[in-house]
Amino acid sequence: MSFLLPIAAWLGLLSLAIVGFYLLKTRPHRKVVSTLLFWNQLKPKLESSPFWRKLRRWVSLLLQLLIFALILLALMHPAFEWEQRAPQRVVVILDHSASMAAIRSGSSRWQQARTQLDTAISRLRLSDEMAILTAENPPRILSGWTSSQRELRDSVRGLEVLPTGTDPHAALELAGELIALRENAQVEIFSDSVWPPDAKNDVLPGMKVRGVDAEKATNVGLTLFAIRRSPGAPGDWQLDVEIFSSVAYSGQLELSRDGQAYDVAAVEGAPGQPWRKSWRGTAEGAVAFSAKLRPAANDWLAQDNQASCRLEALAPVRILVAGPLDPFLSAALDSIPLLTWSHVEEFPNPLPPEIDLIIGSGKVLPNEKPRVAALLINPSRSGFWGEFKGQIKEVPVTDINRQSRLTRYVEFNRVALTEAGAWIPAPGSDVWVASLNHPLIFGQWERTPRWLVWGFDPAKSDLPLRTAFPILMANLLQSLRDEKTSDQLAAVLPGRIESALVPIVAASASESRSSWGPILPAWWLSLALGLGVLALEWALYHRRITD
Amino acid sequence: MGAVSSEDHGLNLEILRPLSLLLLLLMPLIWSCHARSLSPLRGKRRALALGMRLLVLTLLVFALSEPRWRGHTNDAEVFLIVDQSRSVDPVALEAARQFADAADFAGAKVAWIGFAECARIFPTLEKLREADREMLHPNETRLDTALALAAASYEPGRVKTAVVFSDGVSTGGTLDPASLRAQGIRVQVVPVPPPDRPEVLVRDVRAPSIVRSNEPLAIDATLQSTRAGPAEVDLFRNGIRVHTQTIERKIGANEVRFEDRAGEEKLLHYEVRVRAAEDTIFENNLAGVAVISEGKSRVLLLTDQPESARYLERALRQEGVELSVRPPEGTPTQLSDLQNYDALILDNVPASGMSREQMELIRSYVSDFGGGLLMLGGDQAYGLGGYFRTPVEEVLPVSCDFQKEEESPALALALVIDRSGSMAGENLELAKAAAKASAELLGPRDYVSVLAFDHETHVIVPLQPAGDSERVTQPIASLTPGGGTNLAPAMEEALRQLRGNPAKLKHVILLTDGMSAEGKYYELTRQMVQNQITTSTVAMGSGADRNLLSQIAQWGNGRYYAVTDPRIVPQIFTKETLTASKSAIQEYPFLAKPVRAVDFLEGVNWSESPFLLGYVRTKPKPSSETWLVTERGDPLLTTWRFGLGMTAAFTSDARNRWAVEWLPWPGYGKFWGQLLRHLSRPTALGEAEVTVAERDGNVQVTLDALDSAQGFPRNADGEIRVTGPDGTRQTVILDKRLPGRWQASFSARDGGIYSGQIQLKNSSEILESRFFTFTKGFSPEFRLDPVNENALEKLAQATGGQLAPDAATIFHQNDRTALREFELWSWLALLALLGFVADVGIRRWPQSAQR
Repeated sequence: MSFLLPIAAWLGLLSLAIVGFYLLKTRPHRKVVSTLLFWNQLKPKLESSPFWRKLRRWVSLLLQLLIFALILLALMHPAFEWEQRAPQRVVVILDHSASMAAIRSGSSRWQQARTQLDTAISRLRLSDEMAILTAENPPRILSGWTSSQRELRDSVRGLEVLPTGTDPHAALELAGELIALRENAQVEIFSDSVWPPDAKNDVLPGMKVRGVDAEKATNVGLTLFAIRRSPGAPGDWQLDVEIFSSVAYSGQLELSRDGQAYDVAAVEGAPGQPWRKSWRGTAEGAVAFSAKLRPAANDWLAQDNQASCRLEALAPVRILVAGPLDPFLSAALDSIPLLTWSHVEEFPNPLPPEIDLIIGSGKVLPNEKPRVAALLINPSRSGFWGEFKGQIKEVPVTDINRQSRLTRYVEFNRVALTEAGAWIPAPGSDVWVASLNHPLIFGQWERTPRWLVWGFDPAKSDLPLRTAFPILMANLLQSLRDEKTSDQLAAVLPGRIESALVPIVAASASESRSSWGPILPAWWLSLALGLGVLALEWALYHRRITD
Repeated sequence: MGAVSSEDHGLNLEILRPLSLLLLLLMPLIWSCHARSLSPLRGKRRALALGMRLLVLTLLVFALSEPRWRGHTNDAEVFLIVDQSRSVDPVALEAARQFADAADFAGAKVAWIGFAECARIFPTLEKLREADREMLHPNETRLDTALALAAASYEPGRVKTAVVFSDGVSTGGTLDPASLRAQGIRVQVVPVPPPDRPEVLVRDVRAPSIVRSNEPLAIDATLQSTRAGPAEVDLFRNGIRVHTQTIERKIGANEVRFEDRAGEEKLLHYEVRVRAAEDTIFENNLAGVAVISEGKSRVLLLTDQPESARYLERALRQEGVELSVRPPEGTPTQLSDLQNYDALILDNVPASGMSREQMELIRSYVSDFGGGLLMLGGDQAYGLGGYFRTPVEEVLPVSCDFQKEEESPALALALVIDRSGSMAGENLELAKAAAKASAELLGPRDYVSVLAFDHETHVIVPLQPAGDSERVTQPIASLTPGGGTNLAPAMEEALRQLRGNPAKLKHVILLTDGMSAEGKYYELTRQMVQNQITTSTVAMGSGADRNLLSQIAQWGNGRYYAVTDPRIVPQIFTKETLTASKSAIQEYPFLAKPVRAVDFLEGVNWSESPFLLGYVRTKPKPSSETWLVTERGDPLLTTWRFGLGMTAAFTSDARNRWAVEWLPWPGYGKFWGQLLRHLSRPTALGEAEVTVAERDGNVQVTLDALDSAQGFPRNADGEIRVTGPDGTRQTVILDKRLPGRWQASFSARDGGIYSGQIQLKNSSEILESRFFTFTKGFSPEFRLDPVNENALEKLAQATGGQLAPDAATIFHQNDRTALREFELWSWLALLALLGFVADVGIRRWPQSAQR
């Protein structure tokens, strides 16, 4: 132990005052009395007092000097080993990835890390500083440099474990920069280091990993639970499940569909080998699946044992075909489920109610933008959709917008077109398929009113003979359904790395041991002892045990 | 123990150990003791003693609760954050200097942050100016990283201000002004326009990623210019200029379109280059894009006799396979060249005809990109071609050494190696490696001798049976360089050793890199020939006496090799060893015998197949599969999968030497056509979409796959093998996200073309195989975009700052304070100490004072 403020020892001179008080003699007050008989009787008793009664004056002095010394000691800022260091700057990287929720022996890794961090905060002196970042990309700066324990505690309050894994690269890089120009600065990582393997290189020498639960974990978890409709037949769905573990595993998977038991599967696998199963079915309505994995052995992470996903309902599409009926088109429309279609010879004006798409072709075309989506196949004249510039021969497909859901999976570059219309699309049109400078499929589909032009005759190409044709039609109709495919198709799960619970960096042993030391500073202990002795001395004095 | 604060009630007091306040419960005890006191204190003095003791106790308890006073302060800290990226350097630094000179920081602490892709703190402007800008990766701009570094770096108890000097054009990351505001950081912004310099650059080049062969395609380029005027724009296809346009460029973006036809090449690398009279940076004048051309299967044949390839070429054309024929000198040196073919045939091309890098390229082509490889037999193939222990042998399904038959004639081999001083270093090490490899190829009935020479001859390994290779190779390893060059005595010693040996075949391999002293070389060589000893010579480097060595080889009925790349010496030695042993080639008529039925041999009528007249003996590797054998049971056709590709070894040939009777056979074209289609890199197998997107230096590849029934593939795993612009390779695992959808990402920091082969497979078959390319162009840093005032103004406004603030007054806005903590426990303890002394004094003061 050493003293951080030894100059306070000069206050010890005040103890002379206490000693001085004991040296002061009480001068007897002269008083005239009538007789000495009483005092003569009392004198022998006074002279035969017990020894301790004679010492109580000295005990009293010692106790008071002890109290004085303890308060003085506190003022000299005594320091334990952990307090002796120079002012410290610590950048804490706090991992709140899914694996930190792993529980063993009652407390989770997250709880352990929070407790360790709380201890570290408690040990902060006013001269110390700490900053806290999250181990994610980009890192969140929970707290910049501060000495305030309250601010630090407030900054991590409310922080919860994420449902997924994280990549600590950016946080480690930022932490490295933060300590670069500060004296006695270091990085402490509160994590189980269940990270992508590449992150190992980002943990630089000198960075301390405050490991939690370093024992080899046993866990098996769902790493994929996702459902998706087939682009060719939107009524068909496929549900894929994947289970993974870094150890040999077995268990049972219970599958529910719309809250009802759907299937139960026995699960078994070797270390590192995923267990996979797919289910296929048909549903036009919304479907919600949930899974519950019941591992046979001890399992550390609960988050990856259940998952759910959802498929939105398909809305039926009603189509009206205007003009001569193309046999390929009618065959394609017949083959697509959840579709009703009818046929008229002329383009109707006004449009009948309750249709979602009208298909015109050749000369049977609208004069103005229809209120419903319109597909115009090989229009023979100019219109609101663009300017017709005649025919072009031998049309190679050179440009396909593959990002668009209209052309996804459509292998247009294998389609042989013998001729197509030369079009200048209306201003603001999008082009999805083109041959050099000539748009082949163009229109306005991402905003209403929707219209789309196929600037070629499918019958004069091999398109109807290719799988591209039904997929193109299916994409078109699927986009009309406005299917909500946003964020529920796949369950949010921790993933293979998190479920494997394999740390990539060993914990810094010395730091782990030091966490067992006392949290209370030496001055506090000294002052608390002084307070205790102060109360004791008071009680002894009033019982006249001391003087 | 949680902390409590009274700041909200205006006290600005924080108590770190509030539970300590429970010690105030001692006060009733103090009073109780006092109330039942036996002490002599009375009256006011007694009350005073009680009061003082309670005061001391209270002070101590409050000290133990560790209170901190949170006082407001105007002390400020300012980070001057300077954009060091290429788009504004050095203008931003100069703007920051001027700002700092004009600024009155009002006592604030000032530090500097230089940033581009990375950010770093500097204590002074001078340190920032002196720092190596490259460490900040100036080809990118990430303002978010700089602000994050500043946000976390402020000292506690400071009013936080940042001044950003930038053009606001970020190349990645996302700014979060709300977070900065929440942390109390005010960002002032000084917009810095890029320097006005004449500049023209190719911003990007676009072309369809996949076209069909012979199909026209458009290549669009966007040029950026800061000056108006004429410019020449060139289009290069695979390094050859194919078009040039003269354009009148305007300030800003200029669109240029080229039209071209795909041709027969499988991979088209288009580059657009702009040339203008006024330009500052020339590195950004060229950008490219890669296009994959789909069409007929294309096979490259490397052969020592291109004219003899016409039989195979005609037969394959009838089978729909297009054959390109090149001599060994045409061996591809670039992956982009090799990628134009679905399979490669090595027809009697020796390993010495290609460099180590070219062999590595072939290995990568097969392993990483699924290309096919077929080696045909011949006197320059397999071990005879020097492929023993080469990357090509690694890829082949057969080993290039072999077990010699018992009845084959024994060979006595003398290796005569120059150990003169000029051989020091890599040359001698490679010569030693070559000698060891030769010795290891020999059988137990063969003999070997190793002689080293400088100005005199050293017998390193006396002639002895080659069975114990350890006894031979260990002395070779101890060979050290030194001395001059005198070849004749070494040849005499070789003659002396081999002359009396009973082996039927005797051969000398002679290697030197220098000019030898005069000697009777013709006479010596003739004596060797008379003793049935043949001599081959290797001239290493340009300093060797090539005329003499060539003549010795000619006189000695051997072969002469002039070597410029010493790394091929081991291949020459092994080739010579196997050639001299004469047991690798089997020349007699035989019929090919199928081992079992296989799809790629289906329809070939083997019962009517004519004789083949010879083959090279090889040894199948353990996991390979042999489909055709000779009548002696030696492998004729062996295949296996290596990485993503298939390779085959056909140990006879396909020309008018051993396969002369096959040429008119109807099964000839069918056999080779089916075999090569089997070996060829698979094109798209199913319906799949590959989407490639880049963000923050990472390329994300998304594969959407369907099976043949329009469903999603099940139970499949996948990976991508990526080769970067510098040839580095990496394998990335595809991560399944949805049924039928896989994703993977890889880092792409360097500019150039990244080639990737996606493979999706289940336990038994390959479901999808796709080749894709990604062209990393210039960083947006080079786009010469104007100042993004909109983004900068939003940043300033959202954090309470200003755009283009007045440096002289901006730091005088005393509208913010920061909280600073002061510890109170020491003062409380000090007061307690003084109070305690007084307490003692009250009690101990002489009674006489009491009247």
